[in-house]
Amino acid sequence: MGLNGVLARAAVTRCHVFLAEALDGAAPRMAVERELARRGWVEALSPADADILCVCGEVPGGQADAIHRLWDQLPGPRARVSVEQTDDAGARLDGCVAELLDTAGQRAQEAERWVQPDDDDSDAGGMDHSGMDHSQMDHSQMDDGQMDDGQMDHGQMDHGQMDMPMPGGIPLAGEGTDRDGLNLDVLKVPLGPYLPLWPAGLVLHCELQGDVVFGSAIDFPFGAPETGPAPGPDGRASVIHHLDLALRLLRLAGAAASATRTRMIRDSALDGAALDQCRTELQSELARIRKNGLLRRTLRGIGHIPDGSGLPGIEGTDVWDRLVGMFETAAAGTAAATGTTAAAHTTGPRGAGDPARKLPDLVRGQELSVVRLIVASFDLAPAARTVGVTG
Amino acid sequence: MNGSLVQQLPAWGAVAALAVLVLVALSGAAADGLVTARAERRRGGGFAPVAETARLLRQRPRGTVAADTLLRRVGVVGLPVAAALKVAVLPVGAWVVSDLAVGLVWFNTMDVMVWALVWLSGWGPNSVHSLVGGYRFLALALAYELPLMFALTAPAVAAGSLRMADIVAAQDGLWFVVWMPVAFLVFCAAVLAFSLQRPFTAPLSPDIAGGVLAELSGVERLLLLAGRYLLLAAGSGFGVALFLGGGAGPVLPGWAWFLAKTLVLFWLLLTIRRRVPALRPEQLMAPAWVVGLPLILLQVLVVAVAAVAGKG
Repeated sequence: MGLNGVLARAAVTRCHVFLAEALDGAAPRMAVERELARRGWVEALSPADADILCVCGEVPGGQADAIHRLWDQLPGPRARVSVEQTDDAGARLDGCVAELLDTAGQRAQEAERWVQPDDDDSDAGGMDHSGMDHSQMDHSQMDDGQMDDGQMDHGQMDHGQMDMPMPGGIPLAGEGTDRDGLNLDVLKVPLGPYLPLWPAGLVLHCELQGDVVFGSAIDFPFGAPETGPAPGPDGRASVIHHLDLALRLLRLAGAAASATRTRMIRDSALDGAALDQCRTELQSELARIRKNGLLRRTLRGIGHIPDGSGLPGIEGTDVWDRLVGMFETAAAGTAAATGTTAAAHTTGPRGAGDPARKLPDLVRGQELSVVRLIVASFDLAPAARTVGVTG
Repeated sequence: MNGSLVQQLPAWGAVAALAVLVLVALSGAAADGLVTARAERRRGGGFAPVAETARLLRQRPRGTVAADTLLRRVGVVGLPVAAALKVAVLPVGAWVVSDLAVGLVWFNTMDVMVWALVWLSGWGPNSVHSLVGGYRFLALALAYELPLMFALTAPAVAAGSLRMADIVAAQDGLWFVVWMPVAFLVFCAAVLAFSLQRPFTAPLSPDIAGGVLAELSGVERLLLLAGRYLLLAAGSGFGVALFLGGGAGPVLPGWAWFLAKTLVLFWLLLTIRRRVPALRPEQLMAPAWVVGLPLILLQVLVVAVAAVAGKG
């Protein structure tokens, strides 16, 4: 027991937390992220890596199923917490530490977990114990039986379950013609709605061949998110929002150092630092990013929006331009609030029509990593507010 | 040449070599924790690898539906094993665990094995994210492996032997890095690649939820993460033996020089990987084959001509 105690003590100094951002959960998410950074904890990229499932924002009853399935994927010892207010993130996470340290309690929970049949996975063929689940891609809400179990999902054939071998209750992948006319396996994989570094509430239903997306449809299954800065002169909210977008893109692009510095600027803006100081810092960061040849090479030329596509403001831009645009819009936000310059607030991705509707066209034929960069290069929140969209 | 250049250690030597490898890797992980903490303006951070190890030892194993458990385990256990087998032929000063006549080929075999191991770790969990991670590693490996093989050829040609001890001995007076800079650079890049460090982290990247790591938990995850550091440490050791004169140096004994050089190269590689962003596999292919491969072939040509002229 002594050794267990020591291990537990050491372990909780560095908890990994999986953040599930509900609609309108951006503010609590940022509060939790700031708290994680302060403690030296780590954001988990998948539930398999997490000790704590942290739901940011309020999840209405009808959307809790997906959260429940995420919870089932945490290996344990595990704790679960919901943060709805920005100011109680620290206290809630402390509660989790106590839960994780309770070795006996964790053991009891675990014993319970393995005997309980999982009712919402009933069509998974009995193999699917609650603790043995798949990647979080397929944890979307839709229970239409088309994408419920297993990431190796049915191909174009709809549920030929009678004559298809089903290892572990999962139908084999279907087949389809790839861009060169070859016959390849097709996996139907939904991205979202709870995926790290992904716009809250968005689901992109992808058809994958290898790691190339050859078809997709977008969906906002939980309805329209209200995040994003309120239109108007609130410079600080705009700064925070656009820096948040930029750092997500930077992290996806693998520019960890830049992302860390951008996050610190965002956090100091959250803490109420003088916007003048934020501007200086973010402009020097932008200068550094502009000099980063490798990053430019990664982002240049992908997600290019042709002229005349009905997206005023971002026509002719690629992901790189939009990243720079995020910083510029944030800088403009600092200026608007301090009153030095009043304009330029509406440039950049925001208020730029409806990029979400363009996503399926933009991501067709792209590799998964490029798809992620393209999605992250848009500010989808305002678009989602006005549209109910299925692409 | 004969085998008397280095002394083959008895059985405990293998254990000692493994312990040293783990310590070197741990020093890198701790240093990385410290630097990360400083970048985020926190105190401490050096404890991070210990905390992480405790956390993962405590974590329960977790499976996925219809997983290929055996192959997944082979993959994750294999990475640290491959690193350990690499150092078995590495001369540390005057000592070596196994003075294999084809030591360099042995090293190359182990890093080709990494292809299979990472792929199996990605294949095993039966999950899209892991599988895509596996694909990505194969694409990366295709780009870096040929340049790496030619980079290994250069010191072997110059020394006229595949025995690691002979290669170290052949650098008496002039380190190979001086007249094989291209081979050294390509070798260092390949070390970062086969130990899955940036800019070659596409198989583990956040856009696919951690890729190969996405479904791994507990001890399996620990082995894969540790395997990355161990491979980087082993690669640094080979960099020293192949290009930086091995244990050669004044005053101090050979093993001390060897370890010091290894640590410096190891930390240097860690610093580099912190400063560069990740590359997508398709971006690497063209530079590696269109630029890297001709350059390294030229390097091998120069070395070969010099070796022939030197003999004649």
